[in-house]
Amino acid sequence: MNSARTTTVATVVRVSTEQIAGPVGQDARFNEYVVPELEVLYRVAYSITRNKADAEDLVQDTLLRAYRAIDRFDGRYPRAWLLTIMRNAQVNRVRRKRPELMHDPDETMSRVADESADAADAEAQLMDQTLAAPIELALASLPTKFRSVVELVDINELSYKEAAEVLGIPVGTVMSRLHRARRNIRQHLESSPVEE
Amino acid sequence: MAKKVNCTEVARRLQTYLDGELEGDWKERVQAHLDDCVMCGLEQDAFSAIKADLSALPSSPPAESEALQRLRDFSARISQEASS
Ligand SMILES: [Zn+2]
Repeated sequence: MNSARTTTVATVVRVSTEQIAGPVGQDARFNEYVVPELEVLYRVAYSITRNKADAEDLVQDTLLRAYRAIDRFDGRYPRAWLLTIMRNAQVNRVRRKRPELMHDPDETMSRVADESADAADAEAQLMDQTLAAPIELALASLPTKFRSVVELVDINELSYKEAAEVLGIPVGTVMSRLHRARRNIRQHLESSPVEE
Repeated sequence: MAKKVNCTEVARRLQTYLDGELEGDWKERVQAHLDDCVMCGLEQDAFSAIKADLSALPSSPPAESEALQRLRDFSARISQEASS
């Protein structure tokens, strides 16, 4: 499993860091594959947790896990790899916080997300956006599980597959939620008065 | 020559098409239909506009740069601590 670590240092320094991550390659690979994705990770974490402090925490957790696992990463699709790690980290965090809710991870995540964005929070957010565009209000009025998919795909530009990875749901569910959410936004926009 | 599709089939796949996630020859079939059909073309415009508006929204909460800086520092610390 972890053969790279048990290789002697002498061997490691002779081998290209591209091929084997030893104590030397680990940092290089971390900087190459993980650090460039920090911003995406933070945005996605925020979409999942709906809370700045939790988002930062979740990214830190993800970074630590990624660092530990980087020698086993094959270098392809770093973003998808990191999103899977983030998803696992989130499931773990939720489990630690509320063990009684662990029947369905998807359900649990959306419930916790719903709770963390409580009414007061949502209202404060709306008050912050006194000049918010109609589209923002339409988005804010969506239930969390629909809003998260829109945020991940339309705002953070994840693929369907990446969004599915992060939310731990099938790609088909991403599609149906996303498409329903956009239809809903469209209705919202068409029914709200146009302000000049 | 790809088989022609009707409006219902296009409506079902329109958003996936706009997301660039439509696979196989469906992509060309939907595209061909959209070039010809006024009603579906209008639907396309509506969803394109929504998608464009959404993607123009700020992608993260305020004070993002501070949080990002802290995370960058955190990343640097992980490497340092692991190698010391
Ligand atoms: Zn048509």
